[in-house]
Amino acid sequence: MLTIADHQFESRLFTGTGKFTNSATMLASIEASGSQLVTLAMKRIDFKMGLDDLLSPLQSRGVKLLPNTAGARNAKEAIFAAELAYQMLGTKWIKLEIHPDPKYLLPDPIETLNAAQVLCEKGFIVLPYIHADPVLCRRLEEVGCAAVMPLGSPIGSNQGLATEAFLKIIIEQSSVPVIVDAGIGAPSQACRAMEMGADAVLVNTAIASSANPILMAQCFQQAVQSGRKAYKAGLGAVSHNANNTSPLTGFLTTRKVS
Amino acid sequence: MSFSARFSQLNIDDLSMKLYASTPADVERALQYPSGNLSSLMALLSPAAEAYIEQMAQAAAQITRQRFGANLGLYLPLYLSNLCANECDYCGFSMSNKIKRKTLNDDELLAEVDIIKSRGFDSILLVSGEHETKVGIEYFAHVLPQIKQHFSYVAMEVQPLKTDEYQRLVALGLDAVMVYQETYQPQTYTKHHTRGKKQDFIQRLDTPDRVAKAGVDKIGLGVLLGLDDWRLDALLMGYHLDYLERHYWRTRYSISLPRLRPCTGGIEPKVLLTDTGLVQMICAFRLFNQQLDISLSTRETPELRDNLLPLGVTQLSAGSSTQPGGYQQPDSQLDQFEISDERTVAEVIAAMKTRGFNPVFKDWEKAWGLNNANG
Amino acid sequence: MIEIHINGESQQLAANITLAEILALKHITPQSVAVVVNHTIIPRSQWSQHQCQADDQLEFFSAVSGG
Repeated sequence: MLTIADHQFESRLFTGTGKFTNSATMLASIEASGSQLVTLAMKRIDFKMGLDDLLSPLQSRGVKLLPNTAGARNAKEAIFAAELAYQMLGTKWIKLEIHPDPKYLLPDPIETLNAAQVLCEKGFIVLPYIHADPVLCRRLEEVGCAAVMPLGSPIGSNQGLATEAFLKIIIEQSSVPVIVDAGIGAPSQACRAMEMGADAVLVNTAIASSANPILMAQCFQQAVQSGRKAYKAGLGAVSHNANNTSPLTGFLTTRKVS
Repeated sequence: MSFSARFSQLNIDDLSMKLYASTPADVERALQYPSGNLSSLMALLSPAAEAYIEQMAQAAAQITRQRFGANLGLYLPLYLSNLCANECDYCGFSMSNKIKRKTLNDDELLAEVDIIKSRGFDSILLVSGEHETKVGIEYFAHVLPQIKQHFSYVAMEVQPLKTDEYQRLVALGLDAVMVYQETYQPQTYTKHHTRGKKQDFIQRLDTPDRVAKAGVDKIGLGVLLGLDDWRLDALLMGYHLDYLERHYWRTRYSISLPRLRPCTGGIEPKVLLTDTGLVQMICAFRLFNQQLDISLSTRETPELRDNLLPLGVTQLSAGSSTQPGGYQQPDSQLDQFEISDERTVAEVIAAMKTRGFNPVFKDWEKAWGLNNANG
Repeated sequence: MIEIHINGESQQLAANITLAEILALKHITPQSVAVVVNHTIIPRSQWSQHQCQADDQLEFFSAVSGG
């Protein structure tokens, strides 16, 4: 069971709702993935297009909604977006994402920390999306974030765990759940993140842009479950060759031991 | 929130059972994933790990070299006072021991400082007994600025103080605080501390938390090995270290591994810690924590100290005196503990260099001495 | 009639029209919608009471798919 703030999740696979061909596919994929938390964005209503009712089907499945602040370019806008999300959906859970860089969509650490501090003080359950910076993760934890969401690689890139070495440090040092978010492109990568000890992963593009999203969603579910179990079972020792250097403890037997 | 809350959740008997039940397979897994992992530390401290000691030593030496280069920090203790209001049966300063009691005045202090400086030291450890009224915060606040003028790095090993007292001393230039729990077994602790404020196990246990909140650079933990089962005490010290690093991550940490030694009116160790055990402990801690400072005092013989140098030690003293005024007038009767390595600094440095190590007297610049208080 | 700007477009609407009435007019069910008037978020509980003034800048947001 994964506990984040006051909520418990059986599934450690979180999914995004973006980039699907249509709502029906999106909903079916989420179902297939077993995900209990999905992210949503917010936009000004386009009255000509009308509203696409995403929410009722999701809510009727008991899936937790995590609105994000995508579109915000700085802390002020992100804070505004969080308040908007609260009014819209009645939840104080918020995925804080501030990426002013339109090419790589990399998160702004300074705006994110500032926004996190303000939002945590206002009682929001903040899940910040950031680069895999261990010190930044500590700072976010200090201001009260409920989890940290370090990226594996740029959003939508499917490059996998480019930040693996740093994710390990974050996982080692964090007292709040670590959710690897962004860039996971294959089930094996999600499995790897879980084997390393991540508490959860968030996958969107890899499922949505697959030729068969529903099947891919199932694969991710299995991969996350497998990786988590492997982590709990304890991975076996990797053997290395012995180093032939001078012995360091020979003195213990060659002299009179006190 | 402080460590005593975490400590009360630990089932010590359970940890002890698991430690002694560790298998070679546990040790091998620990050697693969030692860093930051308390169950690895447990396996590495267990009897089963003795068979792997050479492998542990090689790994520990490599990690230490990668992290610290060939540098070994040199420091010297300066005993300010041997007044003490505690009764601790392992210590020469215990209140009922009939020894000449002394607290340094400003002139005597300066004389000690001059001698220490003339030997090249720039890092100093101020030590006193534990006497709150006669050698308390006012005395420390008085001497610290005088001493800080002469040394880049000033550490203190005195009685537990309050957070605001530590803050005051940090503002006056205090860089590090050593506070040794002596033993993490409450019943044993009670047996050895029979009078005075040091009897309060929990207050002592929570001292590093108060120190960390005051924003010191470094906190030193330690157990007096021999008071109780050293493997278990070392493991519990590991839990303490782990807790502190998670909660006060801007602070650096060191450990000291003093073995019970003869002293005036002293006691025999309950569980003997052999040289092999000491090696195992140093290696286990180095594998568990790559950035930990490990300090070696002059309690140990020259031969052993020299052999321990590659294994993870990063700080050592040389030519120490463990009594107030002892640099001016050495007199072994007043020592807090018996010194085994009586070599001069020059001799210790020569021994270091032949083994490929660099003595470092100064690694701290007071011009950047800004507070780094943990939130 | 007053001129009100909704999501950037100007419209002529009855004076003192409430936010709830505008939502109904646009066939927007209130769930999962948030309303901002002149850069201030108006809580849902006030939509029936809040009357619009001439030149008000209204923005209606809804949840959409995203990562």
